[in-house]
Amino acid sequence: MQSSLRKKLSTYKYVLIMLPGLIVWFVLSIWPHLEVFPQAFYKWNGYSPNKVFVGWQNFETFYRSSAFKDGLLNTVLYVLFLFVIQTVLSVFLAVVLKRNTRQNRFFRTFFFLPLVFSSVMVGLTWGYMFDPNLGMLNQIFSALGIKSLESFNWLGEPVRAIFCIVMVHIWANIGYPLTILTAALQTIPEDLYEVSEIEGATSMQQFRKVTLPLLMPALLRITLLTVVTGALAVDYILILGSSVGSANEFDTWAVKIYQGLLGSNLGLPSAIGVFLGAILFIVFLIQYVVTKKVEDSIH
Amino acid sequence: MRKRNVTGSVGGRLVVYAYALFLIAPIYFIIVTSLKMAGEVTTNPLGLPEYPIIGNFVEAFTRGNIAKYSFNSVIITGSAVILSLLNAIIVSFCLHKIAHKKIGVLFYAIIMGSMLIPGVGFVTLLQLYMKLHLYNNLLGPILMGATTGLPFNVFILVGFLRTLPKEISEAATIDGCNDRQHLFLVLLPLIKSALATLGIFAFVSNWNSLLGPLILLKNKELFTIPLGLLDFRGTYTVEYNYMFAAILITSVPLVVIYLRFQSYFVEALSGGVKG
Amino acid sequence: MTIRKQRSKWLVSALCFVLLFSLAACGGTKDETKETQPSTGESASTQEANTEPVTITYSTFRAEDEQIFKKLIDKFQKENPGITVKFDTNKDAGAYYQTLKANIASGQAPDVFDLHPNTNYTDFAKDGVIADLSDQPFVANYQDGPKALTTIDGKIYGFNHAVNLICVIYNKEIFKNHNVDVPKDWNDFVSIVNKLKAEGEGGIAYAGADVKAVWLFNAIANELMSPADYKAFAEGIDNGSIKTIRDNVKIYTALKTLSEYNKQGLLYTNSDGVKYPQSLSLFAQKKAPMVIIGTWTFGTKETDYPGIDVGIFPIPTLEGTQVGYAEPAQISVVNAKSKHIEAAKKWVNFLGSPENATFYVNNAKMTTTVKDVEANFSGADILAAQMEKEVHVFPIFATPNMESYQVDYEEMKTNILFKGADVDKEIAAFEQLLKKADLKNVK
Repeated sequence: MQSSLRKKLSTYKYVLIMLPGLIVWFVLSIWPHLEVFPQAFYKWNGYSPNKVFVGWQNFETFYRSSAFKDGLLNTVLYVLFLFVIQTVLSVFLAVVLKRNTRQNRFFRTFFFLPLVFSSVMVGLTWGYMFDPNLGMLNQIFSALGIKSLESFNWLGEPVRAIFCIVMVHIWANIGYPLTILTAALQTIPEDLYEVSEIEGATSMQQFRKVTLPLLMPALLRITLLTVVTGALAVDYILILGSSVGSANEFDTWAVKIYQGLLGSNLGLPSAIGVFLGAILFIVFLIQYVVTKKVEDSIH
Repeated sequence: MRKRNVTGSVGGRLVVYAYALFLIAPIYFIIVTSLKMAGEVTTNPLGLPEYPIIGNFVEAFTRGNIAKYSFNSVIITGSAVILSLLNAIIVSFCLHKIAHKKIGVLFYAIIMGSMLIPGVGFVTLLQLYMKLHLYNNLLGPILMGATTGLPFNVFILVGFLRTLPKEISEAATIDGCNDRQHLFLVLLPLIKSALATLGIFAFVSNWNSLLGPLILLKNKELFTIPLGLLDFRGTYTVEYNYMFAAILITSVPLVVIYLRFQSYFVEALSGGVKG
Repeated sequence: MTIRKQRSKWLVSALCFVLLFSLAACGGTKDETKETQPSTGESASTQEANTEPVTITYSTFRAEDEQIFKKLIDKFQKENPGITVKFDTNKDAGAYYQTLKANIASGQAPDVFDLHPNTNYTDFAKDGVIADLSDQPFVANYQDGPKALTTIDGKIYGFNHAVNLICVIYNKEIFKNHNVDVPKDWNDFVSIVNKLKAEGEGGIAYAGADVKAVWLFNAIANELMSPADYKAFAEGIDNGSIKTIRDNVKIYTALKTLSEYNKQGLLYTNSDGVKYPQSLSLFAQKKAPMVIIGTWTFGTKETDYPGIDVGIFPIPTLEGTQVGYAEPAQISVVNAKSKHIEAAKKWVNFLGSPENATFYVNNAKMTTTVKDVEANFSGADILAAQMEKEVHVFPIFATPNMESYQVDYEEMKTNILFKGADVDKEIAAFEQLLKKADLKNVK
């Protein structure tokens, strides 16, 4: 039929329109990094013409080393802490600062401010905060007279360290989810709140019945972003950890990849990258299924 | 006047103030350090400077070549952001239109692109950019910055487009709009807030981007600000006072931009949606 | 805004960008044409420098030496009118090596560049990335120690500018106030530290968060063994020929020493959480009477510990305090595929001549590797006094299989030093891993 043919053509018309942009993106930003898949099966030092095929050896080496289990646990912890704390905090702050008063605008800008500092800088600064003997946090405790926390070693134990580093990550990056949520909150029509007021709803009920469901799509999007960001975040761990490239107790898989890139076998970090990519893909699938369900229920 | 809602509650404000304190401590440290002499940073890292040295800012500005690096940063970041948003708008619009077809899975392929681990491919990347004449000139970092953000931008924009009521698009088609008019006249104003948000994010992330320009730029004249800041790092010792002074100088424009654009993404959507 | 205004806005901005792009692109191509000068490659005679102007790039990670190198470059360019040296520093070590390797792979490497004395030096030499410099004039002025250090398979591939001692730097005033002196042996050392702590001073500052147990272990192990033995041990572990640590008496003693540092509480509290700048802060604020750090800090004294009169002594081991430990500073090497290799070699020779090496070490305040150099910077006398005694320099060796065991190897040392783990248990666990890793059969 003519109309179905026209429909088919119109679909391809759209594909054609976006094709140039997509091709540029793919070539410049994706294609060089696809290297990670074949590289995992070779042993190569990054510059010599000598590339040795080693099959699954890189994967086995990684699986056997303590870096596998410890790194996985650390990655999961990092993502978990980041997701829970950042989401709760940003939702709370976005809701509290919802109205467009001057004070709220000031706070929103203020909370956005750390984003303009580069992560290197943020890490260097927080290094001074966390130092067990001279750091600002411990000075505050000693000034408050809490003797037991005077020499507290914030990064001395992996779980504690990851918590602290995630707080640094949030300190620097809360501007992102806060801004997205603030914008999303604006799209919720005021009348819904007015209607629920009339019906006698408390603020908590308003939040649960009105705000939360309508924020859900934005929240789900932020979830995927947070998980991927947390899994791939290296900057803060690297700066707050060893500066000579030694492994830290709190390294995630992404950090191990980065450290491996400076070594003599690029195949190993590539293997870790494949592992990590596989897990992220599974997470992505889960998010896709959940989002579909939620969005269908809204429309 | 709403009396018992979360936005006005005491608990809510307390959390905000507590978080603000959490935020300000490191900033206090940055400001205080930028005014100190190098030796004092070691002997007195947390206290107020004995003799505040405003000269640090001058030194940071000249030695850090901030004028030139800012110029490069502005060009690279500005161009990258505009190209990035343009590309994102077009791709998102098209994806939205074909979302119901089988080929709509292209959307998911793009999103998965954000999960690739950068790092291993830098050798290939360098060779590729050299072949395309994108090495050691401003175009390289511009295009790299313009393409890196695509999955994130598309992710947000398509999601946003989905939440817009279908009636508007249908009304436009009935009125006989072609696609270009549809996109630019009808949809663009509606997604202004999302675009402003993405614009700010793209600007900030490109401004701070380090590894890309580091690998692509050899000529010191073309360096961006993050690269310039590395000048204050020695092999073992970092010159915190000058580095932090430089950072304060270079953050000012970003804060100004954020303030200026805030009005775009927090204003309630006017007219179009309800009417 | 009307459609027309919107359209013209797009048009104007599009035009602007086209303009900017062409400017930027032109900026790029100009640079490229400069580099495609007629090159005569390795068969060039020394006449090349006189006939056509040549530009070579010298890339280093020693950002703090920028002013020193500017002066040296000026002098070099005066003495060699046809050659211009472009100075390039990339301060972040990780980024430095990533860009360096990427550049080497794409044929873009600088003509002369600096390396840390780590495995890259050996790998580059073996892979033919850097040029053989054994026949160059500077070798004649090279001290024996550094010469041996930079020799791989009988050939010399680079010029090591200087060495730095990693030792205990102590606050002379605090020592005098408590009536203690430089320790004569291990037991003397432990009693001195304990006395100072009992009288209110802190332990020894150490940047454990940054360097973990690496500095301390390397120093102790190398003070106990000759560099050749240490190299043999490290390479043996790596290629799978050595499977037990327990049997190597010196390494076992080194690990035992680490354990004693922990058991005797010799280091400052929470040293595993102290980073490099903070370890200096502790010393500068006189909270710690001693700090384990390198003598490169003499060059940044004003920042690192202003106003403190310092002395040094070697890091004590269970077997004594007489042998010192040094790490080489940067090694300058020549790109084997450089288009102007003769000019590049000239630059390295220039750096290696006694006159210029003197200038360098007196300004950078490090210990020289060149003969007949008069060091007269403040602290030079202290360094010279130590160098007169026995000093072992960390050897350079290749460890291609490092990633199979390194994390666990370091973890063993960290557990012993900071967690007080039992030496025998940790060694047994590590040896288990070595057996499983079967490094002999790794491809």
